[in-house]
Amino acid sequence: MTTTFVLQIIVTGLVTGSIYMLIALGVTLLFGIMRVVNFVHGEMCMLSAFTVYYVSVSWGMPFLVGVLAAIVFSSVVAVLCQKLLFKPLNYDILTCFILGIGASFAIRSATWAIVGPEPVAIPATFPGVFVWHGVFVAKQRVFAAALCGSLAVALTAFLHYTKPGRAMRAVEQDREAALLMGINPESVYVTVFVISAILAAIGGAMLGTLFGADPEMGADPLLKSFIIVQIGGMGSVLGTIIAGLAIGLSDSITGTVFGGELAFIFDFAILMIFLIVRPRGLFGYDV
Amino acid sequence: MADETGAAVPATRSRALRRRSFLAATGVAASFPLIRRTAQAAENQIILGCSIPLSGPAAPTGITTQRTIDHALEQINAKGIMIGGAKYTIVAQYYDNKYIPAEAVTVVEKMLSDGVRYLFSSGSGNSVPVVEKTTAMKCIQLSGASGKDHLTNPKFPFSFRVQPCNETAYAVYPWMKTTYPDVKRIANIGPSDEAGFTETADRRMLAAKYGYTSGANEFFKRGAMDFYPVATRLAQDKPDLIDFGGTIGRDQGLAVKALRELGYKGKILLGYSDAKSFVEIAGPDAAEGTIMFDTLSEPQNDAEKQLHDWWIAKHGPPMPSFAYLMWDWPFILAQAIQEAGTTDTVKVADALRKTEYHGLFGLERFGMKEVYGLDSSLTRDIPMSVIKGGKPVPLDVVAWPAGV
Amino acid sequence: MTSNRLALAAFLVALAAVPAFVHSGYLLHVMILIFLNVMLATSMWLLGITQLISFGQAGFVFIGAMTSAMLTKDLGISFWVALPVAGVMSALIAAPVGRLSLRVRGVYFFLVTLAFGEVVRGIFAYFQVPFGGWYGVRDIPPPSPHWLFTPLDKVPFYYLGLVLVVLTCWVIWRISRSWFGEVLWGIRESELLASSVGIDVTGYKLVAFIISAFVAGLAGSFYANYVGYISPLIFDFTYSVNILIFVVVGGFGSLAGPISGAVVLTIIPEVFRATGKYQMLIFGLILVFSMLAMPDGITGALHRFQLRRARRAT
Repeated sequence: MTTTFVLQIIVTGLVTGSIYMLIALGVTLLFGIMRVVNFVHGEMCMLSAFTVYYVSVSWGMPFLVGVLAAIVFSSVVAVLCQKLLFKPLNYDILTCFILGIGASFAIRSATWAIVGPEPVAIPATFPGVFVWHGVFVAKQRVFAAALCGSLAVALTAFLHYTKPGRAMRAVEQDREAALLMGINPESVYVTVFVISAILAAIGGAMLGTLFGADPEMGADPLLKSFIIVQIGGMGSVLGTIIAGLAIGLSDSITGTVFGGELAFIFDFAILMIFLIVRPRGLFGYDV
Repeated sequence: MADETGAAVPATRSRALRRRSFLAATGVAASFPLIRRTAQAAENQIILGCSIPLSGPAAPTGITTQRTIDHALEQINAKGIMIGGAKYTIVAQYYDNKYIPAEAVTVVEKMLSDGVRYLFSSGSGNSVPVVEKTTAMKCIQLSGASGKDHLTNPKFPFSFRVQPCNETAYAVYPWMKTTYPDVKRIANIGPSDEAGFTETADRRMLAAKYGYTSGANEFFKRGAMDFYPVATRLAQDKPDLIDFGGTIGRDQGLAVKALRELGYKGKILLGYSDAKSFVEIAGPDAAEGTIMFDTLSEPQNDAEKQLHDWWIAKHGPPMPSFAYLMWDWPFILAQAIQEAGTTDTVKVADALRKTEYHGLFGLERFGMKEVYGLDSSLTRDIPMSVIKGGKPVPLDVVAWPAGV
Repeated sequence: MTSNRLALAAFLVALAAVPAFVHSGYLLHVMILIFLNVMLATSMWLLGITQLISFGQAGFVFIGAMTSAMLTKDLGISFWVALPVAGVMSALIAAPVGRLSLRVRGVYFFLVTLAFGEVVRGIFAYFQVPFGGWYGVRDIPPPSPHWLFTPLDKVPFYYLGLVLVVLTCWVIWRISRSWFGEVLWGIRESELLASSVGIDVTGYKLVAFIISAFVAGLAGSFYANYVGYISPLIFDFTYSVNILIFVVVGGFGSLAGPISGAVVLTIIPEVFRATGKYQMLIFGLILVFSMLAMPDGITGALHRFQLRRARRAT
């Protein structure tokens, strides 16, 4: 157990954690502001990864164009979900949950049917590896981490310093008071869906460059997001950021030191402990 | 008692409601046998049930298998199998087992109750749980799967392994001793399921037998995305060669990519590969120098060339090397049925055991009695390839060792 | 009232007579799966009366299955002993888990149970000895007597499953109609009111949780000794969600809900199995449409239809 080994684990963990953190931010916004569990969130990551593949790899456009296309596509899917699926059911938690699951099955299957079973890889925008004192980090991973980190900061700024952002926070804190203040919840809801779609899109694109795209790829990030959001506190951006990085770190530590299977149990055990000992999470509101 | 709308419901109404629900459900259940329609065997048709992964991380293997079997059957059926003056054809029925054992069990149940007595099963996790049932039903089970005595065993006289999997190590390891003499320490990686455990166990046993020391032994969940944890441990171990054993599909590419990114400089040995997909996912730099066992990268003889040209014409380039491995066994089956002169599976099983077939890789026959107690595992030459410049190129052909 | 009893009796007789007319092993297998799913759906329904949804039912099924597997395979104990023990084991574990989980409410409860299910799975998956790891446990023996229960003949298993499911449904029905059940319905109507009248709401919820875990354990034991093979890949979060879907699509109002939901939703994927890769697509779409069109489930929709007819008559 050398220092290099330990450093390697930490660096790997933080970098991977930042991507999951970004995806979880989308979940926490939806959860916190609308009390909605959107199962399709995972599929939006997946669809984005494929969009980037088709636009950037198959059609040869620059990577940035691919990501933008993914963002647009994701947003459209999110708004469709909101208007067609969630709104008609009045955002009832349970039925929306089931609806989301059904929709995610359907989307996954449809994607299989369209793209076929061959696994798909997206070449790295920054190929190569940084080596620093025996610790190896792929440049692409560093790029992904940097991007996710800056977006998290940007999101925090958005929520605190812009009008739509503040409207979102108002609705989250007290919906009726927000109404009285002249905020239209419906437009806030649409904004929330779109923002979470953007976050999912970028997260998905990053995952695609690291791991390739495949129709089942959305399931894992989604479950991890639930864990992260719960530990960080629903609706708390800061909590999600910290929890996301922490989960990434813990996965890396348990996975590397004890073998991959234990990381899996560990995540959920931590979740259970948090839920029982501190259900509001690190920074959430009182339950 | 109130219902979900809060209105008071008269007792008789709610009971009537329940009764109707029961009837509705029974109606659906009763209509089920009518909706279900599977092609029953027509006159002179031998149904070959195929339980293969058509979705999930192992899908490329499954799709390749399906295409290859179809083409092989086309050729077989053109001549037909003559039994007692009548011409028989083999018809394949495909079911997606998604490489999930529970699905495979249901799929095989379905096939067995449909009367299927010839079964092809792909993947250990899918083949092992069903072998007892197929044996009890006297259904010939041809498995393209890693296996040891829980699949290949005198208890299962109807179970045949049509692809040397972990068995390739019997040929490859002695060959490695002479070809790569500076490899002394071998680490193993494999998926944490039936195939992975079997392959790793056999390979480590054979490594010891041929004088190698064994290094780290890692397992990952099949279909995992992030291989950094496993790869970090393997790279830390600094072996001379990592044997990927039962790892297939996308897992190969992602694992190799992670290993190279983490600074691993040793050799990598893997098989069951679709080289194109592997190079794409790992990236050409990471894939460079990977040694591939039981992989034919370029046609070496006329028969292989024919198959290659057919594939390119029909499915476009490149030709997945896995297809070559799946080509011969339908012909072996057809030959055995022909020689048995009947579709009775007991006699065909006997015939299979004795069949000698000259296929793509020379003489092929079911052997390995010394290891498994009966001749049930296919033995043949093992082609080796290596990745150079982003493409697989031929490396060598290893003859099957004597006495195994 | 008598006509209803008669219909029910006729229905049961019909079910018992099925093996006389249906010889396909596959069809009997599907019927057995239906029985299993009905057991699970009704247990979830009982718990759901109190507005509690457990996403960890798969965990309890797995515990029951593993208990039964280890007892019958490793220790050679008779299935008929292992079956109740499996149920008891699940119930025993449900007690502390339930007590801890019930400390949180609503969405958080969902998550705790989800986490629990995954932890169970993870533990069984990680410890290869004695739980078989990801690969699972194979060669679980069928119930004794062995001359009756063989891997080839589905008929004895069919009757075993039929008896189990009828017993389960009857017991759960009786419970839901008893004073205990009335309290549960009362809790559903208004927890506040119930607790202000002195009812220990959490205690009742816990008992419901334990009962549903017990049934799940029984179902798991039956599964293990019927299929003969269990693995962590089977009893995952999706499995729990499937059970929940049976109940939601069937409807919460009465016991007929989970039963019809389980029947319909077990058959549909099998009918579409031949469509291969479109199987899940169709299933997902059906789910979406049934949620949008029938948020109260099948029984709810039937009920509203009846109400409308009644109103038109008056």
